[in-house]
Amino acid sequence: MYGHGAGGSGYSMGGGGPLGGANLMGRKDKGISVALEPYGEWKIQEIGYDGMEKFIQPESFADHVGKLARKIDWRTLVDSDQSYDNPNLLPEDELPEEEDDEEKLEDETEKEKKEFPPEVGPWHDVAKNLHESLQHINMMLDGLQVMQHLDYLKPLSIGDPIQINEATQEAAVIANNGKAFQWVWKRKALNEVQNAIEASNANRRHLAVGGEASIDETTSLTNLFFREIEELCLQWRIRKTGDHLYGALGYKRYGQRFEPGEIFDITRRSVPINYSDKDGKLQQTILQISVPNDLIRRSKIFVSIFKDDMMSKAIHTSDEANLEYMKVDMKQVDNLYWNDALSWAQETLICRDTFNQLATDAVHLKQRMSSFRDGVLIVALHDDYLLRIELKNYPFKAGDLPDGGDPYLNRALRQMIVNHHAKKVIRSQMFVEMPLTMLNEHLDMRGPNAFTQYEIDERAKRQTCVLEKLLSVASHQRLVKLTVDTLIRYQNECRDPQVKWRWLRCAPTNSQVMIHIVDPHFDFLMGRVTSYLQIDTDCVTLRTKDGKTIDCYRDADRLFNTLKYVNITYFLQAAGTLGKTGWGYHILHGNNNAIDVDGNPPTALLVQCDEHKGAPHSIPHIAIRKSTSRSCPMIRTSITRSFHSNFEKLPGKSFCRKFDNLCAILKD
Amino acid sequence: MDEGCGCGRVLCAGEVNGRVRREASVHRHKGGERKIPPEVMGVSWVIETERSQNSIEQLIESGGGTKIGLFVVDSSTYRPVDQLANNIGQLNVLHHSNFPESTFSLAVTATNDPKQPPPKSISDRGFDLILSKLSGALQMDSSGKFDASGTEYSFKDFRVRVGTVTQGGSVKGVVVEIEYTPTWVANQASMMLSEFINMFFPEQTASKPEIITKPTSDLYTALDTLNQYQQIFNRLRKKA
Repeated sequence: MYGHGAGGSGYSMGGGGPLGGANLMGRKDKGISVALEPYGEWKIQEIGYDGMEKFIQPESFADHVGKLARKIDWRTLVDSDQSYDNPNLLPEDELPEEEDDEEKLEDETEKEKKEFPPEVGPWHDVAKNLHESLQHINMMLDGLQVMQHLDYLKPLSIGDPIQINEATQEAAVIANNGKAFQWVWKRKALNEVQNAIEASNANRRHLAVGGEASIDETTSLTNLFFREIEELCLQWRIRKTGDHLYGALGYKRYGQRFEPGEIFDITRRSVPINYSDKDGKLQQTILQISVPNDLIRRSKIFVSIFKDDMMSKAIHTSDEANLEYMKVDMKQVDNLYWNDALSWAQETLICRDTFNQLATDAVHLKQRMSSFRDGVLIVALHDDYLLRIELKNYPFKAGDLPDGGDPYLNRALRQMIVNHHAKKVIRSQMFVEMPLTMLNEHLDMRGPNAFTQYEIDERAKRQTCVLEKLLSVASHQRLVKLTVDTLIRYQNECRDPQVKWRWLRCAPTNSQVMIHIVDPHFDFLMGRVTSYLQIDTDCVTLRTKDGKTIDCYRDADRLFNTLKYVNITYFLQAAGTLGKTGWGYHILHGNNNAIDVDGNPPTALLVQCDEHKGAPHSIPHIAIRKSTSRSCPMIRTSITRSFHSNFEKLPGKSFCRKFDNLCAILKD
Repeated sequence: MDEGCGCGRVLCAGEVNGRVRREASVHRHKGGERKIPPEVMGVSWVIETERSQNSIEQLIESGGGTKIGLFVVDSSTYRPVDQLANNIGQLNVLHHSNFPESTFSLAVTATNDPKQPPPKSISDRGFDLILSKLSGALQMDSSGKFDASGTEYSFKDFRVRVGTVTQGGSVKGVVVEIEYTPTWVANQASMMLSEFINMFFPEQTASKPEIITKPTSDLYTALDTLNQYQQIFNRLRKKA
């Protein structure tokens, strides 16, 4: 089924195809001629039906020379007209004598020599092959030298040495030709490779399981060292200069790395030490880390808000116990596990840099008082409240650090610092189409749009410092607490109508609360009245349903009274709606906001005109007044001159129920 | 002048970091009347006057204007080279300190065809660098450069800029720019500007720019201001 090549030089696939141009599917694929021949193997001349392969012997040196010699056209070199080939052509007087034959031969050989081009002769291929073989031999010699001096390769003798003498030359040839010999050396080589691979696999499995008992101590320590170095490289920035290995504790993404004050040295211990890991198991470590001396302590930053009063002791504390961290035992520090030591040192570095950043920002703050003493920074927040930022140091030992401060503010500060350092200092280059500039701020086409100086200044983003952001977040957090406490107090104290509230938005510097007021028994009349509380960094604002905005600033009592005002407005509206729809009253005067000339508060006046005719003074009417007292605004009702009722004594639990009953009484 | 809220606190509820809150009905900003922020560009009327700069400044200050800074307007002329004189016209390049990032270009064509007004453009300052590369076609006329520099005043809703015009070191005249800031629509500002001019420069009432007298409600642009400046500079160029 395979086509034979011309001259029986082997078989090939593709080309005409193994099936003579048609594959199994019956389509004609041209395919690609591919010849797969192992390098160095003899070409097969013929494969017999019994499986016997007949090889073509490679040409020997003599065969090769003969082949080349046959290519030379001697006639062009010798000249066909010469009498040497055809003596009959020579004239009689020129017939060579025997003595002159030798001379003529010499002349002819000289001519041949002269006519050969000196640079390229018929032996140039030979010379080229010789040169190539010399190079191969040089490569083999290099390989042998590598094998001899280094440990990368190990020569393996797989057969008996064959001494090539003149007498046994045939034996060497036979050995080379013998298939058995070839099989033997191939099999032995493969066996050796297989053994080596199996050994390495077994070693790897053994190491993965963790058993180093079978490996000798030196190897296990070396393995431990390299394993730890690898772990160190994965977590930290490491650099090697000569024989010195060091790393950087720097945490900044942009900017210079390997600052001199943040470098730690890495050395190898002569004897590994034990340490207990997170699970309490004993592990070994062979690496030793030397952190800068000023970072041999554990630090933490606490942020809290407190009220400034004379009794407050929390402003500045200088406790002697706080100086424990200064007593450093270098031996104990050297015996620490490197991972713990590095993470503590980096945390100390971050805390110290954060505190320095905040202190620098405090100096540049305008219209805010701040003081700094003993690692405590105090900044005025608002009203009588102060923001306290403390950097506390602890000894460089294992163990959990005590908690302190406000967890939300602590976390917010860390987030701001990370964002601050994550911001790129240099803007990456962008291709800008129109303005002849690469600056980001010119992308708004301020030149072609003729922006005035004021517009340019307004658009310039002023970089807010970290402390200002922290102050706004802290201020907002305090106002949120104030609002929530006030709402809960209001819900507890004023049960009528029902007040529900929920968060609409919660952000670090602004939040919004939705407040629903509803009387569940009379919701068919009024429905639900919704108001919104907007909490900013410095003010709490109430927006009523009819679009009125009431600023409560930072006063809890003011907020409480505002909520009561909304409540009372609901009552007025409920009374009007109930009287009108339920009992046929007319609303004569229902202005919620206006105060009359005498300073009386707004009044809702309801009157039934259809049923009673007579003097106006005798028409029963309901007047609902809103009290101007800020401390306790409430609704008072008065019904005609002859009948004043104490509204509180009317039957009914809620205002709407009482009013409903009142209208029922009047109707009767 | 309001003395402040009187609550005694440095940071009271009515103000935040010194900025007045517009919704605060109780507290006012400490230290004076509420300042009107300098708005965006308004409608300008530029006049050239025979009076001296000092006298005009005294007049404005006596009327209640407050000095807020300095201003500079300059104009450079680029002329085409002789070989291209028939193909391209002259180009005037102006700058105004109130528009620090902009360059204004006013071309001059040979024909004054009202149907085809000369081209004008506003670009960023990089245009000057491009012009320096085009020195093979357009060359700057150094002797024809005009500079108007002086003082800027704030006068309620007006901005008044009084400056002396110089050409090559020699004083050519005094120019006053009156800008009515609350509007961008030219004909809306027409009456207010006329009243101002009538009050302080009664002799200039007839020199009202065409852009302001147009009945259409086109938006006024900075190019119109610089165009007025250029026209004044052209007149002053002819003066001895």
